[in-house]
Amino acid sequence: MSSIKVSGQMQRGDLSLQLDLGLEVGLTMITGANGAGKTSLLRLIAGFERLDAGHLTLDGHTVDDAARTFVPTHQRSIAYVFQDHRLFPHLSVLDNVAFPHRRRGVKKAAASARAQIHLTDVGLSEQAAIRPTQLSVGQQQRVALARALATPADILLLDEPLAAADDESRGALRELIINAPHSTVLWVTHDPDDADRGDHRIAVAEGRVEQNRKR
Amino acid sequence: MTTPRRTIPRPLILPAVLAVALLVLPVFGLLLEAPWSSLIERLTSEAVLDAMRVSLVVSASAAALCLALGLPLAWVLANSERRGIGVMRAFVLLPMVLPPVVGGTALLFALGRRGFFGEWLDWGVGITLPFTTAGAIVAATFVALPFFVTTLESSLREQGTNLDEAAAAVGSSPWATFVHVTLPTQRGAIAAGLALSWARALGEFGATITFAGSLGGRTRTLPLETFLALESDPESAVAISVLLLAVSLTVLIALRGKWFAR
Repeated sequence: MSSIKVSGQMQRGDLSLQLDLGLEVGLTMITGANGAGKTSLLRLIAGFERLDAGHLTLDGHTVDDAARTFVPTHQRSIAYVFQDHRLFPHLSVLDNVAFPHRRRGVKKAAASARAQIHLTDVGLSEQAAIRPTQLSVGQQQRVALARALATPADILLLDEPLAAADDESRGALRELIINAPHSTVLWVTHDPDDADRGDHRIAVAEGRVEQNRKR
Repeated sequence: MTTPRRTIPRPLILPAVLAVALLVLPVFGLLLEAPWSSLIERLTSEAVLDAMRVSLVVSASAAALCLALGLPLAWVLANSERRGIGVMRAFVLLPMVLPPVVGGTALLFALGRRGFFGEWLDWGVGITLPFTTAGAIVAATFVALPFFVTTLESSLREQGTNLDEAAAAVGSSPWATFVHVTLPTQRGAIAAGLALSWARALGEFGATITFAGSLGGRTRTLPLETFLALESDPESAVAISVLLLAVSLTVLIALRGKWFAR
């Protein structure tokens, strides 16, 4: 399922992004220098930004045609890990990870049980009851990853999800992402070891998508 | 290492002291003149108790209306970039700078029995606002709403859209995000907005007397009772003033973390 096709153009401040991209199912690694437009590409697919021209289709459905058609984020089948984590400060670590299930009508006990499994996956089962602000930056990032992995969606968008990970946990977290249940995964990374693991690889440079090759 | 204290330019000292005196002296005057021995007695007279009841009903209802109407409006002002938002914000701020008696007059001409909207309310729906408790609530809400809306709007702007995006990114609808993210993270601002708008509603005089009159037990709030008592029983007027002063100070102290960083 979930292919992503985008052709068009978007302008945000100094950045002008020219896109002509077709992504199939699998793990796609996105690399490029800071400010090249990697995050903008993810934000466009997520629906936090709009195209100025062209269109974006997810799984064959046009979700943005730079005109009338615009499907808002919550109606796109996506999950997102932000570079700055964005955990809900008023919820416990467990409730942060249970949040996607709760919003899909899952009862509190069942949502908590599932969230506990995801927290165990990222090695934070013992921090379930505390607030995210009491965690280290690396731990916060793992909670953000757990929350996205807990989100039932076709597309998983990851913006440097391991940037704050320590060397001990990095390997296990990487495997977790590679084995994510989401059919299409876009992973922005600076780490060459991560970049080697994808099925596909894109390099973004100065707002232009340079390659889209199968390894 | 600490930064050295800034030297105050001498010409500023005297006016600053005078300004503080202007603000502090009346409070001392009130406290010196207060009939302390008969305070409880005066505050529990029938007329004052009636006014207290009216004031509580009116100010609490106005604060509740500010929450119910002002929170949605604050969200729209903070998040929408549609045309006309600037004009809307100007209207929200208007009651802050408008003389309350002008507000009351405007309410009378809009919602009074002969007013263009009041006539419809009166005949069509059977609701009469002028010179009723409901009218006093409308007048108090009119003057208090800007305090709630501006408090919430600036807090929402400060929080930004990061958490809204995070919620949307895991499938939360805008309404669910409002209920489960915005409301709980804005609890402090909501409490501050409620306290401010409630205090403003409690002190409301001009719009109330113009639009709702001063009917004992129905629209005569504590400020109106104070004004009335000044003629016949000045000591009771002072007693009520001391009570209202105590309430205002309590609100200020409760909000100190919000406005007084130091």
